[in-house]
Amino acid sequence: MSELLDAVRAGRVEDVPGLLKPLTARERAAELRELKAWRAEVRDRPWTGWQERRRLRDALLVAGAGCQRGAASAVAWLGASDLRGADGLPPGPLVEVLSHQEPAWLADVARRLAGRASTAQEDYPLVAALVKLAGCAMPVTDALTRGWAEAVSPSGGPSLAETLRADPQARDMVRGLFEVTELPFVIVWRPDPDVASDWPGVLAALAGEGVLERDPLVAACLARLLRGGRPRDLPFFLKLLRRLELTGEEERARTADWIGMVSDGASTVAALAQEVLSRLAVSGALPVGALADMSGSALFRPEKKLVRAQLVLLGKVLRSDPGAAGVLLPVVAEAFGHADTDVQERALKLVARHLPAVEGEEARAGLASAASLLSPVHRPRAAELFGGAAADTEADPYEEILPPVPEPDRLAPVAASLAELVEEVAALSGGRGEPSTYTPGGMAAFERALDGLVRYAHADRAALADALRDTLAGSWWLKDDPAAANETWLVRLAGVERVAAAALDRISVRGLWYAYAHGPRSTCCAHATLGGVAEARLAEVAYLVRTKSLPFLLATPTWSTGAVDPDVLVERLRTYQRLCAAPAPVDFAQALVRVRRGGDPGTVRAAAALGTPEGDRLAAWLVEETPVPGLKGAGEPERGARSGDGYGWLGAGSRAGRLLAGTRQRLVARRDFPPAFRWLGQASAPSGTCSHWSTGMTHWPGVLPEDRETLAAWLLPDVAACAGTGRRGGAWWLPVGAEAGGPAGPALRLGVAYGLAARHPGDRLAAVDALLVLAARGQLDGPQLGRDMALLAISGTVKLNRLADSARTAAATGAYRTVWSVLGATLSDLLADPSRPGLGDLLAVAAECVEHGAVAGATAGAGTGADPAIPALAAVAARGGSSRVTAQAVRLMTALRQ
Amino acid sequence: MTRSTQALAYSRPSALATAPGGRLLGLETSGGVTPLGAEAHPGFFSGLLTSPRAAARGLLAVADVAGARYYQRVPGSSLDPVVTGNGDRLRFESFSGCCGVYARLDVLRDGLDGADTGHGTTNVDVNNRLREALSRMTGDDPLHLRVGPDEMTVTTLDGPLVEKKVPLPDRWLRGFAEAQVISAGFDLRAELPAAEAVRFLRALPRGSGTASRGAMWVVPTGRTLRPTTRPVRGAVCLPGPERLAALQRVLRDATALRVYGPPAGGVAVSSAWEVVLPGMRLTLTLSPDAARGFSGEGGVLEALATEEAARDAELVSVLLAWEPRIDPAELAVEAGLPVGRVRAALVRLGTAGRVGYDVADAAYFHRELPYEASRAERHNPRLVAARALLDAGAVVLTGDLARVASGERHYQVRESGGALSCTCRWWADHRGARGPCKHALAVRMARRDTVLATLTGGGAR
Repeated sequence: MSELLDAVRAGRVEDVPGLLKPLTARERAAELRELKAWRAEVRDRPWTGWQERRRLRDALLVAGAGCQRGAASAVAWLGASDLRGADGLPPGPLVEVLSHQEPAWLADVARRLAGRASTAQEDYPLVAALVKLAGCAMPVTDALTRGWAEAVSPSGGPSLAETLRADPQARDMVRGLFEVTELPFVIVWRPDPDVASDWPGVLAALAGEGVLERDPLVAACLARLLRGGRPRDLPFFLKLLRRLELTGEEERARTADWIGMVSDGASTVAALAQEVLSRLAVSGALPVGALADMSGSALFRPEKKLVRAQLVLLGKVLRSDPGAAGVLLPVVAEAFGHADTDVQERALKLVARHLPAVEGEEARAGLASAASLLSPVHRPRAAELFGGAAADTEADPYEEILPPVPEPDRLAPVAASLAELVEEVAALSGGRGEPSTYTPGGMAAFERALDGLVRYAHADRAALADALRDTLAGSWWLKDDPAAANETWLVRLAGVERVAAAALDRISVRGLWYAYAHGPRSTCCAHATLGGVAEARLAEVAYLVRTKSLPFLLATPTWSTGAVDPDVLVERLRTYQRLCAAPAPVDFAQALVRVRRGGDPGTVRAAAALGTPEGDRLAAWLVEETPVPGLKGAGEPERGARSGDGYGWLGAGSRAGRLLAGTRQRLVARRDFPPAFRWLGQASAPSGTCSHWSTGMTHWPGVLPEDRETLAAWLLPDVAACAGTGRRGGAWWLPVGAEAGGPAGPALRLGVAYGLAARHPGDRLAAVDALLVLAARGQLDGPQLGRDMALLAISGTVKLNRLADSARTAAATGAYRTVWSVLGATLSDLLADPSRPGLGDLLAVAAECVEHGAVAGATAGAGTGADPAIPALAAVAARGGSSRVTAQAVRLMTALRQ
Repeated sequence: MTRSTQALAYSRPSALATAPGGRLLGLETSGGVTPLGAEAHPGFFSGLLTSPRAAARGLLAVADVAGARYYQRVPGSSLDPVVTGNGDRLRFESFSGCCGVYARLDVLRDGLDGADTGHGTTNVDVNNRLREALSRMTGDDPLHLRVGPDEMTVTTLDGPLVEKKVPLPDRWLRGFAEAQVISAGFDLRAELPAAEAVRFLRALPRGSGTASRGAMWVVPTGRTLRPTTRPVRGAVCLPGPERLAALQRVLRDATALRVYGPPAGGVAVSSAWEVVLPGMRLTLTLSPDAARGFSGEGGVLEALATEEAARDAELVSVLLAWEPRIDPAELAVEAGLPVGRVRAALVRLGTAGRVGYDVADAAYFHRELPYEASRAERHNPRLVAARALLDAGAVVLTGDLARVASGERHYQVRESGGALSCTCRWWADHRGARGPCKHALAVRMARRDTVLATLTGGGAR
């Protein structure tokens, strides 16, 4: 064994270069063979402490690298993952053993190492050393640039400027910074715009000193901004550009770059480019054609600020050079179609002022035709300007576009075979049965599987157990898991898994009975009440599957909303009677609550004719009126104080001005229903949001599919929190409620009002969905909703700009009349105080609705909910001034008069 | 991850040059196939573009997608766009690094000033200088486009000047090819006029950071699309709306927005978003989730599981000649096969990257992706796993039911109405929305083997 190999085997890295030096090429090749064998041996060795491992590895790496003949094989050796640690290669010893090679060889290795995207970043020190030895140019790649940036960024030692001054490769590597797809973190992390010692400041300073070349730096920086990229990277280039302080000459030479940035850049980049181009245009250095080009791009941008600035610039240029009107005014007219009427007005004024300078009938006709894009508020003025040409065109008759009335689907029949049922149960097992968010099909899937389990258990529980055992073999509770021996866990299994576990004899009858008899009793929040019902049903079914199996479930929904057809329920009770089966109390109570009322009186008679207690209860239930919850403001007494007359209030006192709903007492629910349903008869509802873990929501709407007012009363605190504290996701139930059955009253309406003002767009969208569905079903009291919204806004509970955004979303799809019915009432209550923030936005949406014909035809004239808005509106519109509220009030007035 | 490397060699960088009477956009090509066979630098087109600015923007959008990763934004290298000459149009295609977005710019005859193009498919070089030059094109000055080498200078070159070596992951290739097959099931769902299109696309949430916004649902309402929270009837899925950012580039020239998608079924599905430009169409096809590439959708596994389709595909592929629209009926006559088998063969060819699908024409078109693509599909992990199950004799068939032993577990595969369902986790999670699971595939293969065995009189496998 050679001395070299001894040193390597002992991990003596420091000895390797000395031992390698005298070796000839042939000897090195021989050593390499030995080293490879040693490598294979070391690779599979178990861990023996990281320090030893590192020593062995480094020695092998260095020795092997020194014995390599070809550049490609050397790089393969250096890049092998088993030979390198997380901290990269040791450059010192490696350079020592490679230094005898030809410069061309070294340059080749450096180039290849730089080209390895996965390792080049950490190999920067070695590459830099090799390049220095070879005297070649730096092979700039993305990964190497990142490594360089990390290596030269100051970490306690010399400052960045000093390091870069001393770095002979700085020029090449700085160029790389403008080519990388994403800037290294060390460069972008410091955001302070005034610090001069950060990367942009230092680069600009070095360009001033001549260490870096200024012209390529300017060109690269502009090119990079033009190309765009990650938003996080842009401040670096913007700051660099600002620090470089371009001269007028430099700015002028790059007009095309700036125009490109105005057209496509991020808004900060476009703003900078617009600033530069404005300077050039005002000084007369920008040709009119280029200005027209730039203006076309700038006026098309979504940022209002940039559009306004461009119109100001065009005004300035036109004043000093009226002859340019022929080229520039057609571009200005492109802003006639802008969504903001203020922008339209500015553009129209500009055109009006300079129209006389435009020569040629054709150009004028072009401008006149563009005026048809203007909002009706500006049309009279345009007509004045262009003659009768801009008179408004006859619009199509107004048509309100609302979503189709949702038709609930019939639930698919129960699994036709045991194999199919097993599949459904498998799909709902392993945590999939209890998603943390509401899913439309979740309730239906659960109900079908539950009914299926009951039916097949009744028919042949042994066969069911056999089929389930195979399929659910992966479940923890079927394995010899210590947790599976603990019944307290098993009786809390979620969803159909608990019934499956019961059917498979994994839970004792005693445990099942205990869970059944001691269900949740709390009524503090929706989790306890709505969730408690689902829980109680599961406990009942799990217990009965083992003891006194039911032929099928009474409460299985007929429709996807969860509702049960009364005729179907009568038929089910009749079958129970025929089979001499006793309805289970929770199952029957759920069936009652789910049954659809107000149908055929024959059904009531048929139910009564059954002659069973359940038949009588059904008959009585079908004719009972559902009590509607009431509304109250927070100034009224605290919870429970008025329960004497049948009201309980929720969430009172938490915030001044907050409107909430309260449920009424219902004797029938307190007297006849099992404990899990007693809350239905209670004169109370939750007193605020709770901190429960959000699961099981999928089942909640299905508990009360025909009583959405009570559902809304219980879920109202969640959506109120969306508007108040900015909670996310509390409005999920609004579209479900809008599609559900039962009367739509104050609680649901209040939920929509809160949802429309929710902080997060997703929640607002849910409220818009609910609003449109209610309108489509003819169940929306628009003016009342508008007054509720005004009340909430006056008390400061909701923000008007959010309401305006929701209203705009709803109106934009073509529901202008619906939205106006709401906003008209809101505005009539709100206009007393025109200083309210966001009022301008709301007025703009209202004006848009009216301009689209929301008040035409039948609703025009006296006596509609919108009319009271007009006196207050006139007062605001007459105030004068240039505020947005006044301008939009004038616009709304104009629209209403037409 | 299995992957190979794609080496590209261009005779020089693509560039936008000023030429007498306008500008010249010279796109350099590398490798590819034409009717004459493989060529190093094929040339397809030289002529004027009708709408220069829109074309420049469209090309930038395609390049944006090629360089983008909409999920786990790690820096990485990207492949150049692929261009196909179909005789009457040029198609520029790219596929994002995250395997979730497919972009295609079709420059139709109207956009090419009525000129014809050559036939074939190749890579085109897109570099930073070219992107900057295209970004500077804000006016509509005349623009001459050349795809392929310049005849004047090609002889003076003695070696490739631009070399790129890019890793080519198998799942990227599979996704690129499968995006075509998935979009073949799309229908037109909505069409928006220009103003509404601009408003809608600008109102979409922008991507920030790495978090995807998940799927969004939009319902065609009146002249526009109404966003909604749930997959209601008639809704179109917009999965990961931040991924439509590339369309912002071309909004100024847009004349309409068309949306294509499969029938809504309640779960997130892919959809195609096409911006109509003067003489051009820019289409982005999105995978069902930003975190889910096209490669795992498994929509083609059943087609791949049969050998018959492989033989048909061989036959059909010989008959293709870079048609812009493939007519299956015509092809069926030529190949002497029933139309159904031709369609299956086209699906198979799609997975090998040998045909693409144009949702606007509702037809396949011929193009040969310049990659070694067939290998990737053959090694589809689920297909490999299914074969392994079959070879291990894990499948027991009993009527409509089958039992598949996999590891320690047994799964039940049930057939109803021609569709297979299973009791495994994959099925529970996706309910067939991402293709069959390995157990169902194994059962499908076993059934076919049994049928073949009965036909040929041999024993079952």
